[in-house]
Amino acid sequence: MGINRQVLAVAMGAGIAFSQGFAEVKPPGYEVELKTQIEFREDVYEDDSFPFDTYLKVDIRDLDSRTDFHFYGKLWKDFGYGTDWDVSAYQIYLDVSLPEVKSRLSVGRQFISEGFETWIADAFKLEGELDDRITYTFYIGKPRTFEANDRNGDDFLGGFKLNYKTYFLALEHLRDDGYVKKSALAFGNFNTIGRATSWYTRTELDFHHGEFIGFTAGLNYALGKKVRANSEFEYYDQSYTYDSLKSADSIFTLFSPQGRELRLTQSLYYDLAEGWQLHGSYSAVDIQRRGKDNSHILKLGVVRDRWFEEGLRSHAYLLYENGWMGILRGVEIGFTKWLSSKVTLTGSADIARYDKVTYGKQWANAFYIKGTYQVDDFSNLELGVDYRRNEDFDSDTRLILRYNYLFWGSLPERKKKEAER
Amino acid sequence: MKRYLLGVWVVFMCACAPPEKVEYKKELGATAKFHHKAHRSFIEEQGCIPCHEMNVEMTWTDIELAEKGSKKILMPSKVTCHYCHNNPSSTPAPSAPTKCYICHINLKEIEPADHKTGNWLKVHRLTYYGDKKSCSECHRQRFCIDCHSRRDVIQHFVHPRNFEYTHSIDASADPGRCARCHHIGFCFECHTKGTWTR
Repeated sequence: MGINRQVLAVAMGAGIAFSQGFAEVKPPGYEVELKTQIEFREDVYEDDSFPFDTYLKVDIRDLDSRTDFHFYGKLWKDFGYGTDWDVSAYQIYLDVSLPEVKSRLSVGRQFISEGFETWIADAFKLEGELDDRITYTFYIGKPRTFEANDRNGDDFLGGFKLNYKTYFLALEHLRDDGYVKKSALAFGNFNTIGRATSWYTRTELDFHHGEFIGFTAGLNYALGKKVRANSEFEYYDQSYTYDSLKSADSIFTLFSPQGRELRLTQSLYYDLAEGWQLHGSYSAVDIQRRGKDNSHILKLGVVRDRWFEEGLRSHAYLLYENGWMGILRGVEIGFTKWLSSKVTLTGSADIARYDKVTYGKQWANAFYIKGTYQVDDFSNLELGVDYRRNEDFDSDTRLILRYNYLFWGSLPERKKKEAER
Repeated sequence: MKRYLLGVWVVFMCACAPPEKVEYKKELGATAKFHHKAHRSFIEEQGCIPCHEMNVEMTWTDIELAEKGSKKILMPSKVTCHYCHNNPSSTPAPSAPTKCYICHINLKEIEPADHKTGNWLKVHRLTYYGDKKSCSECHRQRFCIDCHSRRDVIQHFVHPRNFEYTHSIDASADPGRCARCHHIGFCFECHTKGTWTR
């Protein structure tokens, strides 16, 4: 009783076909991730315009050399106004792996042009490791800011950071508008005490001006997956003046012009029960402004996680903020619902009632709903509607459309190599 | 008689009903996306053992336990996959694609528990300080840059969506936090134009 010849012929044919299919498979040479977005928005002040923003994000990775090319841009801002067809924000950089010296080199540029400000930053960074205990980072940046009647563009950033086990030491020199903003020394640690507790510190000193810039100390407590807590104390002083009595950090000095900020933050995560998680965060802030001001920021809520059972995850938070500018009370609620292997729905509502010294009591609400359609395994389409309403500023509706795509290909040289094999 | 026959039929059906099968594809998750064809060159060079170790003799008599055990022994774990696909500094297969969602179609399924706390944006640096390698298991540095070095992003990550209306309270309560990411020109963009839309 032998094997039926016909069966044998069919089996051999199938085998040959299978092995041919096998042989056609080639390892890819590059990997590309593409993200595009177009955001149509209602412009409440310009009735004759049709404004929208277009975004493009491209990441290309040469899989052989492990080199990454990255581009991100907000293109053709305010298309429709007729005069502003330029790129208003982009970022481009190249990330090259140097395995012979166990390091990685990054070179890039970021460009932002917004209103009166144009900002360009060129950067060079080298990261590497000497052995398992010692790693280093060296970086140089040339930021240039162009503001009318203000900056001359003479800015520079350079620094070096050395990590040894759980300790680090860093040096940084920053010039801003022709003046030394800081020549700083920073050092710190991150150590564990047993399995559940860890602590860390960071101190920064400006030895050029003899200023103490900041200090952070924190304690983490993680008892398994059920409870996690953190307590952190921070001292922050970017309001000191440097050469020519220029303020170091103008955003900080707008709101706290006379001194420093002390911040004490407590955060807690607690696994309440199956599918229920509690999370809270509270910061008490002391800032120097006309003597002394105290602020409180509280966020407390629950997460309901039934993702694996029902494909649903939802959350609800209460917010409270109290600063010298006013008081805010609000809620944040949201959900993500997996409807099928093709469609997922996401929604959120941010509702706030605030009382500002400038405008009095107002409502500020935002609603967002987004559907994601999975076109195939590696591409999807997102459609979102964003509606925001505020009693001071009227309303704003946006339609957001995104397409994300991942694909691979082989470089001609790679194909040639494969053929030679 | 009818009752008797009905009883026999019920017992027969129960006895003959196929046992509940282990749904390997479902249980395996990302591993089910594996194709031997795509790994041909590796298999030719290294054989099967690097992934399928098969070095444990099975003595269980519990069939369900045996099935689960054999799955664990036979099927490679994430360490095996990640050794080539998520190991940029020393992968032995540099051509191996690196994007997570090639195999993890639903990234929510592998999202670590601490990411789901809602306030993760504020506290994630604590994990970074403590264990940088745990971050780099899934994220490359450009993921950090998306927020830390860029102010205008393709997706909303940081602030609630009505933050444009309420940020002055946040800024007055904790001004040090704003300056970590924003320059003063960012304020002027809206406050000097007379319009808050961008």
